Amino acid sequence: MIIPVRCYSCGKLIGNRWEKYLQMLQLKAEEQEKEDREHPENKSKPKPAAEKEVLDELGFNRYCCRRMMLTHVDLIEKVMNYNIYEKRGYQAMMEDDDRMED
Amino acid sequence: MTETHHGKGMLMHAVQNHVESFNAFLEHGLETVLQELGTTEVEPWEDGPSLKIFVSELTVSKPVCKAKRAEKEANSEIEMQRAWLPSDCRMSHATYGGALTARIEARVEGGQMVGTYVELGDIPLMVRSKKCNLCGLSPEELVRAREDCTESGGYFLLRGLERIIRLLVMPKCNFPMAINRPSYESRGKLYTQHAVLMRCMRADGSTLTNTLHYCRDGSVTLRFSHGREEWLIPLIVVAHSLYQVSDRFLVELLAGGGVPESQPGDEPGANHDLWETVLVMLQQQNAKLHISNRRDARQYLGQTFRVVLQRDLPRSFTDEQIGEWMVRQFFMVHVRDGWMKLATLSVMFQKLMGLVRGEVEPDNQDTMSSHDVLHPGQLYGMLLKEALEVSMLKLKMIIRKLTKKEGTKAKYKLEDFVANEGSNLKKFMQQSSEVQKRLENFLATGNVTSRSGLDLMQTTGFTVVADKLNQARYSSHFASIHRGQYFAEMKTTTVRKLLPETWGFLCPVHTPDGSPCGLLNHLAHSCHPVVTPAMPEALEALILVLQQMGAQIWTPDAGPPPESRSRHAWVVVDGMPVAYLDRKRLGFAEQSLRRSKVGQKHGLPEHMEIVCVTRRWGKLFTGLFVFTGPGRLVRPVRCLRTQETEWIGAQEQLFLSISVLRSEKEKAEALLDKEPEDDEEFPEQLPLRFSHEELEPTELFSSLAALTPFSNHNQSPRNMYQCQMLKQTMATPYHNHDFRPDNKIFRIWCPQSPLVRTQMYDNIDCDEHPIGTNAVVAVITFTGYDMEDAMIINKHSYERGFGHGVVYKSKILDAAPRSASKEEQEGNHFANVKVDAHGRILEKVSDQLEPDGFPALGTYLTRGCHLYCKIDSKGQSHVEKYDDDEPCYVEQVCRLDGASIAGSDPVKRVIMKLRYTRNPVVGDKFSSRHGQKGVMSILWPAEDMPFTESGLTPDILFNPHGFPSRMTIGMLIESIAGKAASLEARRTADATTFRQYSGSYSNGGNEQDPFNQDAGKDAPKAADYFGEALLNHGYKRLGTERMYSGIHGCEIETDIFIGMVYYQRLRHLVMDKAQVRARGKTDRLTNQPVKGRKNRGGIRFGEMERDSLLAHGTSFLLHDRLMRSSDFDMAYVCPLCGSVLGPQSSASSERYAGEVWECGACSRKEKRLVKCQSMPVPWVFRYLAVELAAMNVKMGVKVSNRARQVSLSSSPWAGSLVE
Ligand SMILES: [Zn+2]
Repeated sequence: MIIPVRCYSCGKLIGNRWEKYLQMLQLKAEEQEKEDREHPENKSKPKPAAEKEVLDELGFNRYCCRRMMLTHVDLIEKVMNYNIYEKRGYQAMMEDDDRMED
Repeated sequence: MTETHHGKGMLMHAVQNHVESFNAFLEHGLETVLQELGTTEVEPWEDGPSLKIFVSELTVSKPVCKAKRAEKEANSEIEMQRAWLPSDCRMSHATYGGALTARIEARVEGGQMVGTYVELGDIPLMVRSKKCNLCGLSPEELVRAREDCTESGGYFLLRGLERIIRLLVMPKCNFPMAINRPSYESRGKLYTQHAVLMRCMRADGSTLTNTLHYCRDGSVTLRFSHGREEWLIPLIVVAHSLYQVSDRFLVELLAGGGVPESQPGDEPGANHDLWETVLVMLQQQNAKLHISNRRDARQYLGQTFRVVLQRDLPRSFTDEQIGEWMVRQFFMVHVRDGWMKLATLSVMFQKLMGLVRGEVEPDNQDTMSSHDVLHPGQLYGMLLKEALEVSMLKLKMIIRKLTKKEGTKAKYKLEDFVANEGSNLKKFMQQSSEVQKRLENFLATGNVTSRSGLDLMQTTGFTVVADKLNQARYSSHFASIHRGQYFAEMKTTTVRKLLPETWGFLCPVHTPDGSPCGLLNHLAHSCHPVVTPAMPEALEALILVLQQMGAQIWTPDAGPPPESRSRHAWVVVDGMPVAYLDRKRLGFAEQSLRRSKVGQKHGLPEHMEIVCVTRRWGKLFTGLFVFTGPGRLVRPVRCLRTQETEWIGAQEQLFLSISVLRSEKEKAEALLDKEPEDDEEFPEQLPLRFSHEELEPTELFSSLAALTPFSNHNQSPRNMYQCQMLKQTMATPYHNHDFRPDNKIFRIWCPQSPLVRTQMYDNIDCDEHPIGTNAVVAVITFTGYDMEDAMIINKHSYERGFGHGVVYKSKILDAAPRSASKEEQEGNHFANVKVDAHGRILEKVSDQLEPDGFPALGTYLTRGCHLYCKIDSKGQSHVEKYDDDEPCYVEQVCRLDGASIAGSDPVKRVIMKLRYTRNPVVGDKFSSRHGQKGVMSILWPAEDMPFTESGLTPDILFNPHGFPSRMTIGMLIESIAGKAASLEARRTADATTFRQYSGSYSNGGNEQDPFNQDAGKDAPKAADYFGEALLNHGYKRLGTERMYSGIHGCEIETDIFIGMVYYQRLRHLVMDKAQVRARGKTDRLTNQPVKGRKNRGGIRFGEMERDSLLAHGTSFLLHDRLMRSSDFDMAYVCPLCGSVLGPQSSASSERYAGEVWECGACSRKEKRLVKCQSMPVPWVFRYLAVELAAMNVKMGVKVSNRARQVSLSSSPWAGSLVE
């Protein structure tokens, strides 16, 4: 759902780094794209995973903390598509939908 | 595969079969049903022309919102119609269906044809089929339609429940199957065990089985069933009724060849023997009954069956017409043409004679190769057809009744039904339509109520509820294929056996253990049933191709094959022997057919199954059998000649040689190509020339079995257990929780994507609905809390969210029960206010509830809290309290008021969803993906946990004793691979079964070519491949680390194996199971404690438990459990008659102080007061006495001679109760 606040195993604070982690990954991907465009000959050479560099930079050294970041599935993104927290008249809500579509 | 699907996710794959099957029904099935549906003839009561009615058109429309439709009629100015969505159905517990409209045409003979459109009711529609409103939506659109983004349908919604039609195994259709069944001998004196049966499939997918029985006198009879009764007809009569032939021609046909002259080189069993058999049969038949031509035969049939078929046929039919009708309906129904029917019959006969003579081996009924699949669309079509037939019959009855003269005049004349553009017809057709009722009933119960039995072996269990515990469980419902209920009761285990023929079709790993083992199988991941009907164009194309290959196309003019049967073979296409071919050319014909099929040339269908049986395969009925029809399972393999993908069927597979590994093929080829040397040793297995190759070595697995990482390193039953446990895992069932009121749904909060995964995991997008957590697992014995499969969880991990989850329970609340009076139905509503007689609001009823009568969202409910408040029709308020020991939160309250949509209406029906926190507690079940389940025995504080040099405390401590006996080496490798993946910060470590590794994991390995066959002997083992990556990061190659005891702070001498393992949390939670009772409710009849957790009942102390107490000699405990804590009772027993029922209290008696029990009967007899003795008994003892008395059996208890005390009453604990 949402990234846990601390690493399960060692207790290191990780929740505050999730956004940063994503941003850095994005940046890395862009850099890599640029690199590939400029030096297409290096494209097929084996490179360390982008995640590895980012995690090293963020200071996640133990494998327990690394897996927290690596394997987290941010389901909140998907659940947010539906969430409307209120008591509701179901049929009445459909009316609203119709109006929205018009 | 099809354009209708855009979604992703695990479901996609398995569900597609169902959706495509239903689409095939919508596209072709409806049309063929029409063609097979006959004309209904209503005859007048007196002489005159009859009324003929038939259906000429059937259309299904997409579901529309019913509420709006009603409103439209009320205020006609606005035309508002909204598509009715599956989510609407779920939220209102409705059935998802679209209107079936038929065009009914009728005419009175000689009169005008009248046609009218009639709505026959709503038929349930499969979600995401072509007639579903969700068809073709993108994931974003699905989300807008309030569905999960991976919603892929495949089920029917009945009263809000998702039900699916399960795939069912059937005998292979359109193939003559030879069987020896000893039970046939008990059919009659003449019967032998030999028979050939053929399940013939009509164009609409319905089938009828014809069986040829061989009799001791050399004759053969044909058996079929109609209306659940079996009928037997002599072969010669059937043969004559099919097609007009001379006796000589018939003999030649049945014998399968021309002039019977024996030639050198004939194989044994050439046709001259057959000739004689047929001749004898013919003569015998003629002696009994002279039938020489088609008309005679049909007349004979009509005459014999007229009474039986009374209900189905108009009385005006002549005998010959009845005979003709029977030929069409009962004999070889897969083909319409009489000539082809006769040809089919003669092929069946020849196979039967081969079987009798021992030239042909019986076919095995339990192998995949003699099986087909009954798919949802096919069954649905069959049922729709029958529902239409029943409706038409009902219509006929109604019209007959209405046109009957009562007195002098009938209410209606037949002509009235064609007048006014058939408005009367429309009216009565609507009345008599049973389509909606029948189909809904079938889907809701899974029972088939049919007059004909539909050629099915069972009548129940066709549909199941698709349980959405997680996506794996849900998808496995769609992939499951059942052998049939009949076999579940069978004592022998032969049907459950896993046969090598199933390779690639049914998964050998994914079958449940216990009673359904081997009967409930699952399709391999790339195998699917053919659902489209056989196309006439394909047959034409095929005949053209056959002709080019030199096959003789068989027509009545061409006559029987000139050569003897031993030199030609049949080419049987979908059960029709369309041509014959020189045996020597069989192999060539097969190859060129296959070439055209793979190359998609000449319009041959790609799912065509080519079975070429030659003599070199042993005692089999030779021929070239081609199948294009539906219901066959097919799977893709690579054709080595063209390097293209070819779809092969289960029977076809028997006669192909398919290599699994490329290395296997190369080795065989090398051996075959080598010049043989004299002193060479024979290889263990003789090399084969492979014609095909598996696409991937993992083709044999179902998608669930293929998810188990390193499953080739595990002991095989562990992989089966994992398939079961994956289906019990608490996970992410879907994302649209707000729009699904399922009764009970589990959810975990922080699922992760596994580091160690197979290719299948990504192929089916399991990350959309993840199922577990990567846990740091140390294999160590620690604290003693980890004995016997128990495991220790780090308390801090738990507190940081490890394994946290919830359960949602929804219930529907009605302000008035369904059974309530109309007044209550209208007046009752939910609210939290008291109103006086004038409707003025006086006060709130409950201050725990909001004005609408429900608690606020998020309210914490414990036992006794107010749950809702309703006001009845008299203005009285009722507050319902929450009555459950487990506290919960109010998650959702949702009104369901059906048609009334205005917001101000009183609320009468809601769904209330409650949320129960289910974080791990002691006793909850967890498992890794290797069949290693265990319960959590304690939450161990992190400060006392063993820790590593880097300060890491494991999440889970796993007892090493779990490994030696289970031999789940896969779990050990997973641990190393998970650790390596995490250190390398690679999202995945590939653990695909049979994968070959090469290179180094740190440099990317060989992900491009996972089944790398060239690596040879130097290729690293999986553990070494990942172990090397550990070395690069300064860890030990074997995944061990130094650890320190958390309690003593000192270094643990041994290196501890520690790594990352993906853990699943199983749904068996203690909170759902804990059952405690001291005293409480008892059964009214027996006075014993009630059973069941929800009744706060006890757990049965049964016979076995009793035995163990007896064996221990613990009589006090025994007495305590079975008597004192159960149904202890004091009974009075009469010392004279010994009755426990007779004694009654005579407290009123003045002669004695206090209460005295006397036996009335004995007192009267003895003319004195007979005092009774008290005796402790179990209450059921009295019950037994009463039951026996009801049967006129008197039961007496002998009390001791002195009549002072019953022996039991002297026991110390009962003593105080005795006077
Ligand atoms: Zn950590």
